[in-house]
This record gives sequence, C-alpha cells and structure tokens, in this order.
Amino acid sequence: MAEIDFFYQNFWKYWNGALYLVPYLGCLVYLVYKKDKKLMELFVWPFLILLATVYNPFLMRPIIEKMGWEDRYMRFYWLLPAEFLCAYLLARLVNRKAKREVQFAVGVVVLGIVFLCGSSLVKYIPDDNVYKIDSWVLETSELIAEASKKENPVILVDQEMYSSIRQYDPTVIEAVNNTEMARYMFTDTEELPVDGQYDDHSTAVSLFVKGVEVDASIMNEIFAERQVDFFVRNTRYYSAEYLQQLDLTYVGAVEGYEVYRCAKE
Amino acid sequence: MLTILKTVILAFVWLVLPILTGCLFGLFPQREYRKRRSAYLIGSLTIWALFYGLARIALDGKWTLTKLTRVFCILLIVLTILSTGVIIYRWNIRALIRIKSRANLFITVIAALLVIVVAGGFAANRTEEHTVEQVMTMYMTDSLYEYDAMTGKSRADMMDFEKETLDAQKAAPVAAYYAVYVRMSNLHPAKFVRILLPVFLLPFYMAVYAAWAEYLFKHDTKKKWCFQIVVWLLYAVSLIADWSVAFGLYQNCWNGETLFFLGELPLTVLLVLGEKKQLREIEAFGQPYVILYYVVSAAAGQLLYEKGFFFVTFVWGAALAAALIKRWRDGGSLSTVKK
Repeated sequence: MAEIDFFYQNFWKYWNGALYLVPYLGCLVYLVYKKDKKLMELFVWPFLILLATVYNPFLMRPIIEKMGWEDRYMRFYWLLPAEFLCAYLLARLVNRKAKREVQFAVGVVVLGIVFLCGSSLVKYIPDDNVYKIDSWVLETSELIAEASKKENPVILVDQEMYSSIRQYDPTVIEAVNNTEMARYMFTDTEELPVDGQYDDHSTAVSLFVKGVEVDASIMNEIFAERQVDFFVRNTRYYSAEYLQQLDLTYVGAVEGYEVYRCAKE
Repeated sequence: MLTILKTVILAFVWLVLPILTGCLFGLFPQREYRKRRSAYLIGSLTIWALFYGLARIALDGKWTLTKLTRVFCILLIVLTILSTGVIIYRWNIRALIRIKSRANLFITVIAALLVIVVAGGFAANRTEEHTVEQVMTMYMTDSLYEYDAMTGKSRADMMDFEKETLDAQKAAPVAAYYAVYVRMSNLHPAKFVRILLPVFLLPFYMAVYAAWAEYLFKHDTKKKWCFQIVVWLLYAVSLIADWSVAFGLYQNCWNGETLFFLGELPLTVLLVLGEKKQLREIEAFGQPYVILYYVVSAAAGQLLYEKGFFFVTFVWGAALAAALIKRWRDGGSLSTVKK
C-alpha cells in the first residue's frame, strides 16, 4: 500500500491543478471516438504505452529503488504531451469551418479557459540592473570587496542573500554549507527548536541564519572556528543589544542589510 | 565596440552555425528534414552532442576551462569550414538564404523582437536556479566542477555529500557549456546567461514548436500559427502550480532541465516520428541518418539533463518496439523488406 501511496503522492505533486488533466483526457477520448488512426498513433497509443510502463507502479517500483530516482519520478509525468494535444485540438476548434463571429467567440472562450484555469508563473518584475541581480546584492558585494584585505573573504549571510551573492562576486566563500542553510528553510520562526543551538555548532548556525539570537558566546566561537571575515546582517533580524555582544565591527549598510567585519576594534 | 563584436560572434555560433552544421546531414542520400529550420534544430543538437563528448574527455582528464574552450573553439572552426565547404560543393547557397515568404519574414522579425523584450525585460532570479553561480565559479577559478558553486569551497574542503552533489552536476555538464562561451567572450556570466542566452535559446524553442505545427498541420498556415500561439499561452499560464522547473520557460529557459523537457524532448519525438504523419517502418531505424539522429539526441539530452540519455533512449526504444509490433500485427516478417 505504501508503494501505491508513493505513486499517488507523485501524481498529485504533478497534477495538483488537476483541472487540466480533464481536457487532456477529454482530448484523448475524443480522438478514440473520432477513430483518427494517425492521431491515435501519435497521442493515444503513447499514452497507453506510458500507462503500462513508466506509470505502472508494479513495474516501476523495483526500477526506482534500484536506480534511486525517488526524488525524480515526478519528471516522468512531463512525458505526457498535455499541452501539445490541447493546443492541437484548440487550434482545430478555433479554425473549424464556421462564421467569423463563431470563430472569434470560440477563441475568446478558449483564452478565457486558459487564463482562468492556469496559475500564472510569469510575474513581470522590472530589472534593477543589467545583471538581473537585486541591487542590494551587488552593493553588498562591493562593500565587502572594498573592505576585504583577503582575496577570498569568508562571509556569513542569511538565506535570502545566500542564494544570490555568488552570482555577482564568486570570490567570496560562504561559512555555511547547503545543508546547514536548508535545515530550517521551511520551518516557521515560532517552531524553530531554539534549544538545538547547544547541541552542536552546525545546528546553531542553521538557527542563526534564520534570525534566532543564538547565545553570543557560541556565535563568537563559530566566527573564530570558521574564520568568518564578514557577517551580513539582515536588518529584520537581531537586536542592537544582541549585536553588541558579538565580536563585530560595523562596515557599512545597504537597503535591508548591514555589513560587519568579524573582529572587535 | 568589442562587446558588440563578441555578441555578433556568439550570435553566429548559436544561430547560424547550427544551420550550417545541420546542412552536413545533407550528405546522407535519403535523409529527411531538408528545410532551413530543420537544419538549425538538428545542427543545434549536433553541436551540443559534440560538446558533450568533448566535456566527458575534459572532465576525465581534469582539463581547465581555458583548455576546454580552446579545443571547443577549434572544433567550431572546423565545423564552420567543413559545413561551408559542403554547402558550397553540394547545396545551392541561394536556396539556403532565399526568403520564400515576406509575410513569414515579417512575423519572424516580430517574434524576434518579442524574444528580445522577454529576454531583456523579465527579472529571472529564482532562488533554486544556480546556473549563473556555476558558470561564474568555473570562469573565475578556471576549472570544471572543482568548486561548490553555492559556497565557493574547493573539493578538498568539502564533505562527502557535497562532493557527491558536485559529481552529480558533472553528469549533465550544461553549465560547463555556457562557461566555455563566457570564457570565449569574457562577458560577465550573469549578463551572458540572463540576457544573451534567452535571445539564443528562445528561437530554438520557437523552432521546435513551429516544426511540430508543421508536422501536425502541414499546409494550413492559420492552424499552424494558432497551434503555436496556444502552446506559448499554455506555457505562460501554466497548467501546473509554482513548483515546476520545467514550466519556467519564460523565467529561465537556459536551465538544462527546462531546455531538455520543453525543447529537446519534443524535438526528439519529432525525429523519432519522421516526416510522415505515421510511425517509422522498422527498416528506417537501420538507416545511418536515423542512427545519427538517435546518437546526437541522446548525447545532447545527457548534456542538458542528468537523466537525459535515459529519457531519449526510452522514447527511441518505445518507437522501435511500436514499429516491431506494427510489423507483427500487419503480418509481415521482420526480415522481409516491403516492396
């Protein structure tokens, strides 16, 4: 049963807007009804072959276990030519022999369905610069480059900055690794296991980058242990009193962030 | 001025050289797809496949990025000379550059302008897309997959799981492919990936869907355009919610996985199907050009996506099985050649 559940979960992960599955299956049924041999070969038979092979839990379970593709199985659903089939039949529907007004009305209805059913992925955000990198990332990089005496300064940043700072200046080295950064990525601030900071430094740093005011002595140890040169503070996190307890020296600020050198002067 | 010159050279390599390379397939006597668009598509796959072969040698031999770039440049020059020679010798050059329809030219120019607007105007910074960091890291360290793109740590400082992640990236070295062009032009990786690559790659997607429209509607121009418009609309207003990398066509069309599933795989299916609107006969799979289609699509697929070789082979295997079943159902012997 757990095996079936794996396939069920993957199915919903892909088809969570299952509304579009309906026109796709409807198109397949229409092709079967029309008995168009060529289109059956192109769309219906491949679908049936896929059902018998890659979408067949009994066949695929051992293969997936052997190949270790659990996290990638969902990609198999991309083999379904849903857009192509829907677009094909919509093109035929819009262009069928009818009055121009009828064609226009069909076109409007089709467009309406497309826009109402879908969830728009495209959000137009004007670019800040030619690099298409947020300007605060560029300014932070430049602040660090100016203040650094080392060729490859080690930096500690929050999650937001972590995913983009090396796009502009790859000379910086992150003090945390991907696992530490991702450990509490999807945990709400209220639900963070704050006491975990005393377990080990790895957990402590994971909490710190989420904005938890980890014991200052632990953080100072981490700064020294990982030879952190610069700490980039998200101004939403950490109180002024807390920052005074850390071995930091203010360097400069950009919108939303402050840069500190990891050493008291 | 120098930047413009570099951009023109890059545009030649990404948009013109594939057409020239695709024309090399014209040396096969019975080959299909003789149009300029088909030459561009097959040529693109061929260049990607050649790079994949070269990258495997480079990665095994621990080459630097500079060395890989030099060898790849030589390969591109050889391809240019070879294909130009073949075109002059075997093809009518005028046929290649002739504009058959002014209306089509006008629509193509409009589409090209749209592409540039999309490429230049959209902010594409998605946190889960790390191509720029990967390219930047290789470019700055003059190495291939020796440093973690996210943290900047060298292999010696990495933990085992980090090394495994880096090795997994090597399986589909598409970032190295982009890094080679950055090394060639010395453009900033963020500019190259986010501004130039959409200009170079969106035409590939457009050509794939245009080829599909041609396959489905042959001579019905109105339906062909309608089909393409609906496909692009469906991608813009996605079928699926926001988890999908593949449907980020407008946001990060350079991403290997997106390019594979939305560009290369549909093209591979077309190559599998052949020009006729029915399945290939079993004999066709033994033709040298069909075998070559498989080789280039599989290698190009592996360049773009770590499971690309598997998916392409699955599609070709399924088509071969279907052709066998068809022959068996029609009552013919597998060894009998149809008259």
